[in-house]
Amino acid sequence: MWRSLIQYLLQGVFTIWLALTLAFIGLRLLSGSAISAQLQGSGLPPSVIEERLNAVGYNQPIHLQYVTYIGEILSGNWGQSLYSGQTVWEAISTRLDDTLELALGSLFLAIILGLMLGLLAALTTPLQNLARFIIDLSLGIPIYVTATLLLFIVAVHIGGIQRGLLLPVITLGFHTSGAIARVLESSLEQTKQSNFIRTAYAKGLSSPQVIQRHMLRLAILPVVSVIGLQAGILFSGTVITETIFGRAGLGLLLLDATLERDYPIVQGIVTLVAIIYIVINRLIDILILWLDPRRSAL
Amino acid sequence: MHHTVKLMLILSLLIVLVGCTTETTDDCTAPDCIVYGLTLNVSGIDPHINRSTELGIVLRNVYDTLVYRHPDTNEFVSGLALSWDISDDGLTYDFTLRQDVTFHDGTLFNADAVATNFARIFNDDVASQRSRFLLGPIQSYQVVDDFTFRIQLSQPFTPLLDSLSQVYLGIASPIALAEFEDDQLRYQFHQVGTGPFKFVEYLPEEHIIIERNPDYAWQPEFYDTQGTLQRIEFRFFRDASTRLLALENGDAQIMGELLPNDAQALASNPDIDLVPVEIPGQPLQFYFNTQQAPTDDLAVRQALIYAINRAAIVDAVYGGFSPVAWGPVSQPTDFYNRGVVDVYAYNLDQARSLLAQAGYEDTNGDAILDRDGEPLAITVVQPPWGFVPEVVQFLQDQWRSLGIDVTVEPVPGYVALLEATADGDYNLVSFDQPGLDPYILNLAYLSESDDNWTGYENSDLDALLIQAAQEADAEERRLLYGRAQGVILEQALIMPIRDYVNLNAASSTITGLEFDSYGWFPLLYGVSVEN
Amino acid sequence: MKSHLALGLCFTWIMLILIAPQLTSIDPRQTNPTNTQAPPQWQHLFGTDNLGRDVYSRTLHGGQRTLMVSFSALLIAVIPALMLAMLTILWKTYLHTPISAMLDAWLAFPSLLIALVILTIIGRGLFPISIAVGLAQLPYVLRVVLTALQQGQNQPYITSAHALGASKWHIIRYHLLPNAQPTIASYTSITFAYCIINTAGLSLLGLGGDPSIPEWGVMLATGRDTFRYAPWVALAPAIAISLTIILANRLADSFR
Repeated sequence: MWRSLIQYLLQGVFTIWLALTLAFIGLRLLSGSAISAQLQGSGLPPSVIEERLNAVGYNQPIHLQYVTYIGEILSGNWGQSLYSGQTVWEAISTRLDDTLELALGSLFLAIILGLMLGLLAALTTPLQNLARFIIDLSLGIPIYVTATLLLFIVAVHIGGIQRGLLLPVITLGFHTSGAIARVLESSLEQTKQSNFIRTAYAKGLSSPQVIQRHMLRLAILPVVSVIGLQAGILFSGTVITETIFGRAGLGLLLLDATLERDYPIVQGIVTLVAIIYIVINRLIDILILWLDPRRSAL
Repeated sequence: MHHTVKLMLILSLLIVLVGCTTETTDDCTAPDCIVYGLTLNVSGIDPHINRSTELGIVLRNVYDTLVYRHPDTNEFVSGLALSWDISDDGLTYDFTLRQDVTFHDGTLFNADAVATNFARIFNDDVASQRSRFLLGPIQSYQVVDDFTFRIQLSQPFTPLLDSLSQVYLGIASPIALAEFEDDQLRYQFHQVGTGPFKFVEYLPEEHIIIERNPDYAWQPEFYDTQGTLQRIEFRFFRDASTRLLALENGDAQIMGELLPNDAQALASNPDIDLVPVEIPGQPLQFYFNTQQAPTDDLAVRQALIYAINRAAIVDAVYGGFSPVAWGPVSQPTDFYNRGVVDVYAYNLDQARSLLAQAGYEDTNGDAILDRDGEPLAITVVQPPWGFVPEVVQFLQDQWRSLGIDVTVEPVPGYVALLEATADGDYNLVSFDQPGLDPYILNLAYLSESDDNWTGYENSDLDALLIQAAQEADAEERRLLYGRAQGVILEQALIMPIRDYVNLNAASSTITGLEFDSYGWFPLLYGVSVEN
Repeated sequence: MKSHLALGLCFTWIMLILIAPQLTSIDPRQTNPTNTQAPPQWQHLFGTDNLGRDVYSRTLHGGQRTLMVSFSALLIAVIPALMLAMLTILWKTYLHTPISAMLDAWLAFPSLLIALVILTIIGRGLFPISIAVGLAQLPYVLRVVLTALQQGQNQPYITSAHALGASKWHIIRYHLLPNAQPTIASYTSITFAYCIINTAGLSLLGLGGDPSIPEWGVMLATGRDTFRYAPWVALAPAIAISLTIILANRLADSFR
């Protein structure tokens, strides 16, 4: 128990380190720097620009920059934005609220909708084809089409709704639900054919009972892991939804910071997103253990 | 535990989490509060450090400047300086300051305060992106007495007054500045000026809030003091296609940079007024790189301009709201040269014969012109703003029909634009700067300027531009800058497209909305909201 | 029976897309500043866009590029994922830990950043965009495939096959892969949809390629700005994209 917990932790730390290193390499591959870009055409003497680059350490050899960078992350001092002067944590935490409420809201909607649609699509009922069609729409329509339609059809008639949480949550939730539903559907189909379900039917259990007692238990496992993946995507920011609905979330911050080469902010977001992702998915792993009927039966 | 119960537990946990994070952030419900829509992401809003126009939209109302330009006449009128005295050699400026001004933090405004601001702008650690450049060849500044401030120049620099009237040289409270001496970037979150509105809060990408300064009594002569607006929340509306919707829904009362489509639709909307404002400065334009083949050839550059139907393009892309641009500066700019109109007007035959004279013909029948076995191919660096992508697609198509192969290199932003042009491997790049004094031309065309995108070097043009900046007499300056505009066109260094017009719109409950001489910046002191 | 239908429909659709450019004589890049946002009419069956280009012709021409970009992106995502997953199963003792750590790091890395870095470094052509879109999808495919393959491993018949002396490769080839096939097929179709959608998303963020080249996703993204006044600009590409994705999903279903 303790051993596997420590192993889990170590693996998580290793993953975060790997993500950070990737971010560091990726950013250094981009030429251009925030400092020179800001000071282009400013009439400042080149010596001033050099000095600024020295001050933030971007004139150092790359391996020294890397050491400094890892050191800063470990010491909890994630640096300052090269533009706003906010500490990375300040910059991120003001955006985190927006991202969290959107991510949690749409995740909630996506789970409910996804489970419903997935169930309906897997069962032979009159609603089966409708459910499948809705899943197709959820996966097949680009998110900005839904967002635009909602804005120009719903928001035109209901004032004040544009800036609220409702429309972005519906948009994101709907589009996330498709993947959940589809995995549940195919997982249910597979479970249907497995031996112990046939046994259950043979024992004379009725269809809803079989679904509830046996199939769902088994079929839900891949669904839970898909939910973990989708949550990761939602928490790392959803830049298109944020742009269209004018929300100041992590996705926009990441996009802007990368375009402007605001390295400390990008690195901070990568760190945070990696941590969130690792935590969610480790929790999901534990959840799967807890939910798995085959294991809890042991 | 029963399986369904487990699932329910998890879901309810999620609901609780959602509930915890949801909070309302509607700060602007009072009747005299409005939401003003900004359209671009601002990467910093310190007027001494940053240079965006977006920051000026807000801060023009927070800071006073030593001088102002009258919005109707562009004349220099007194601001924080009651009067000024320029020595005959044009090197010494003495400003007599107002004695009745206090900063928003209650401290008194005086010559020391101005000196502190200048010291900050010249501080290398502050790394000013614009304001230091605006001050030109300044040699020293000094506090003559409590309310007299002197600027000493090393060479005459006539644009100085224009510079001093810009928000980038707004005067901030020395006490507030001192508080952030070790962390200059942080001052932008706690700005203190003397203007008609006080700075309340800045949350990046979320909002900037300012509120009325009840003690304001030192306004420039053109300010309408009847305004009742108490509080303004600036919010960001980056997605252009939802800006009108925000106005219609009452999510914003004033908004800039509407889509031309939306602006046209406003004609039939009694609740929202369109307020188009012409912006002085460089028009939307493309610089030709004169150091890269084939645009190193004057005939090719001229042919490229002759080959485009600007009137039709501007009409289609900008919905008839923008005038066609012909020269290096737009019509409302000081010393605009009327002679530029219709130079290189659409003339396909002229374009063809210029290319033929330059030795280009289609020898291999691939519909692309060539010379010495080299096809006529150009690369255009295309930034995402100002409808440049739409314009470029028209250009591409019109040039293609002439037998020119056009490669488009889209860049997502300013840093990428600099990166794409850093190696000089481009033929055209779109970039422009706003400004009322044509001094902006010096930045773009002086041979050694690091913002010279054309790579063009000509000592005659240099001499004209330098002399124009030093000449004190306005009529002489008009002649010099007029000639400079002529040279720039003769050499076909740029392809102008349209004069910039900011399509603002305001709810019809808003009265008294005016913009300053620079066009971008609203004067919100005189604004009232009718209920 | 049903699978034949889906396969036939998909084949027909791809054929249609391939021959579509022959069905119009209008140049899809021909602009006309005096006839912008014209509603559908006889000369312009689907109307014209904000630059006066014929939407019908652009829709017919746009399919090929859309298919090309999204197929290459799909291949870039799926083929390495399958190989990596099989290798991981084959050499479980050596590869499992490093691969799953790499996978986690990749998943934990914002895919927007991957795309931005790739597009900035290698440019904006058809191929860089496919790489950017595909690489962002790769870890998700890998994870799904890996899970699907591993699930099969616990089945009793695999253990018995093992006991009977079947080689690892034999087990993967004849037992694990067929067992995982439905999951892989359905996730591949999801990935295909994401590839089409994300290509368009990149151009919405200003990261796409040359916008004059007709491509459904780009048409859709640019049709947004005129949606209120000329909805037909976005309509045709939206229907075409949705149809493509729905057909791909049906095809994936038929593999179950």
